[in-house]
Amino acid sequence: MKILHVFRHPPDAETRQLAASLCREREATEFNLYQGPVDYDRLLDLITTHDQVISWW
Amino acid sequence: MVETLGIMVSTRDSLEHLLRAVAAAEKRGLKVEVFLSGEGVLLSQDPRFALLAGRARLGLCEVSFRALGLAGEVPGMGFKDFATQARHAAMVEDCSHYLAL
Amino acid sequence: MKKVAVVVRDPQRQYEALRTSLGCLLEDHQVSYLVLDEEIHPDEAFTDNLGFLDEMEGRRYSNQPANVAKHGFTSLSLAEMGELLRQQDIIIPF
Repeated sequence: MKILHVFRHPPDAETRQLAASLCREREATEFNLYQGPVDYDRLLDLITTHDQVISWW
Repeated sequence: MVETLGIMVSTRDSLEHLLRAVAAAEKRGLKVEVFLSGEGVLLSQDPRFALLAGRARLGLCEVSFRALGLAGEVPGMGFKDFATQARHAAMVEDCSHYLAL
Repeated sequence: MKKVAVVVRDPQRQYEALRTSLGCLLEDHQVSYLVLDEEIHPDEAFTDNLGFLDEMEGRRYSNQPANVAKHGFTSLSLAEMGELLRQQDIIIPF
């Protein structure tokens, strides 16, 4: 199970805790949508190579 | 089978992300479906939204559209694309990949 | 059928998240509606839709004690929500 965390804004402690629960014993990648310039080709690469994508706040 | 990317947009500030993500998906040969809900329907009023016409299956939540005082046609959307949340739920079921914006 | 969690922490979007949850239930997804931190202040339509969610066997959870005491949510801590989210196919934050 590979998880992609997409952060639309800088994650706070609550978001970090939930994301950490999902990551436990799983492969996970983080992608910051709030930091420009955004590499959308890489985003699509990640989306298509991970089993689950979660767009956090 | 062609892979599909479903994008649900519920935020008003996501048009740039949406346009660029759809373009990147096209390059990879993915089919794209977009559903606008809540404040995401406001994207339909930006002239740049018309750039998506014919490139993705577009739909929106009609309840949100009306609740925000919007009316009239949206480029790339027909009568049936003014839909209910069931359209989003079907997208969840059918798409290979799902992205919320 | 997929396992879908709708997670809302913006109080302005609690009702919208509920409508998305109901739509997913109509498509026979297994739905959990999670309200973080903030108490809901439901009007008649919100209350009706919470009832529909219950009737369609959707689940609703909150880490906000008032939502448990006054509005019939099942209590879950943030840590327990994390465990629940691990079991989902789709997670939709609002």
